[in-house]
Amino acid sequence: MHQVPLHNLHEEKAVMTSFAGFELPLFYTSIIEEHLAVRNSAGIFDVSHMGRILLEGEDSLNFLEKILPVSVTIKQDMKAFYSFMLNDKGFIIDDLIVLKLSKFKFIIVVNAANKEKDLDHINKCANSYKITIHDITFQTCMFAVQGPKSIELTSEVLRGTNMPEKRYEITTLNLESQEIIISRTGYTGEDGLEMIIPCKNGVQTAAMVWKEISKVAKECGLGSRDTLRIEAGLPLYGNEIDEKTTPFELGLERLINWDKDFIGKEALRRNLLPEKLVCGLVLEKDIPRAGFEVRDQQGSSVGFITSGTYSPILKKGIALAKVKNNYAQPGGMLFVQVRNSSRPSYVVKPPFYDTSKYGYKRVKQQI
Amino acid sequence: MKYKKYEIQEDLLYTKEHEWAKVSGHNARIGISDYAAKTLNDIVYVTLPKIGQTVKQFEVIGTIESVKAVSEIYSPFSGKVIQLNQQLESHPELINKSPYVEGWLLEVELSSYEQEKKNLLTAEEYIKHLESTQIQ
Repeated sequence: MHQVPLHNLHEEKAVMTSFAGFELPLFYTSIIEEHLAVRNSAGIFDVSHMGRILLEGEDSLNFLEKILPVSVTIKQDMKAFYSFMLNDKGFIIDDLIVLKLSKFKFIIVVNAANKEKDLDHINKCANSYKITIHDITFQTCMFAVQGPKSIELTSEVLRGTNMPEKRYEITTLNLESQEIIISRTGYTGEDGLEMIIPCKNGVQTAAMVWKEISKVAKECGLGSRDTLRIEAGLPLYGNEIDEKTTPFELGLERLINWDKDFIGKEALRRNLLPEKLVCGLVLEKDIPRAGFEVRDQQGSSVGFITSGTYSPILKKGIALAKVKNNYAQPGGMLFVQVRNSSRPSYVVKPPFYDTSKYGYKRVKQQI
Repeated sequence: MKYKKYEIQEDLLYTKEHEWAKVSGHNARIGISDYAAKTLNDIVYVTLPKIGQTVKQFEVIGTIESVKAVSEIYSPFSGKVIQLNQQLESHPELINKSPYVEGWLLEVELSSYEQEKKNLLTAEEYIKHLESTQIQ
């Protein structure tokens, strides 16, 4: 079992759980409290378990153009973006965030459970390219500070330092002569930051950053990280995505650049219409859980729940489900088999919350 | 009594599945332990049997749903359900706030108290059970 560098600090306060081979905080006080802190103010998560792969060298850009369907060339330096690696059948190996530091230097942030598989794939594809690949997961910490007040509060406690101004922007900052990489990204639907802090020579800088930010942002565990990402409609590898999932099932065709060559392109071309689509379901009663069957009005099986939880904002059960594509239209009615009962649910397009009140696109309150 | 950060109330009988029973006269009030409440965290729904229903010792009599998961409630005793905690319908979080007092679940009229009480744990035995299952 792996531990994150600040393990001892978390273990004192949090209920721990195991996830992807790591022992991690599940919650500190309450999943609902932590969830609401992020929606209404700010929360801090230790996400050091996420895989971090450093890619350097003169062919870095061309290499990523080959393994990712998105156009990497048009992204500016010091910008982050979401993408996925495909196998030659067009199925998703992993979804990821890329930090483009320059044409010659990238950090790829991948799912903890997939890191070894991803490294195998990357190394296999890297043969003819002039690049170096380093797994820097255990040499760094990674924190996410999320919520409408996260930027303002982080900048206050870190003494007005250089924060990224727009979503997906990246800045660097020197603290105790360590270079910290900060991107305006996250996995909660809210505005926020993710920071990568070197800890090869000790955890004191990372511990200082955590302690300072946690004075103003609520410490949050994996429990609320999951409820927040479900409420925002964000997919999770292992739930919505597996190695039989194409980007079309997730509604991500907009992230594919058909004008270039990339691994999986030919297979995707032949496979444009998915059988199933991911949609959102809202239940009036009971909480849907992963694996529950979804039926139509006539009682025929049309799909299954991939992630389900109680939504602290809607105060109802919500789910992401994979259903036959003609049932995924918002406004439709489907039935979730919750143990012995069939519970009516209506189909929505996530996010589940009112986007004028919550999430990074919310209408900013005038002071 | 306390085991780590969990309150264990002394005058109760416990199941290995973390329910408690408080016997007074011919009746027992039933709930879940502070350990169960803290582990489940954020309880959002409770399903209980109906008044008048007969339940058996260690039989599943309901479910408690938290944000993370659903878990089953096992009856510490056999008997007939005579009262339910109506407050839980609108305030299931009472179980988290006060698992031994305001967050009680139901009351049963006991049918086999003498034979069944030996199958349950005292507070000291329950603490040993928590220790032996290496609960943090």
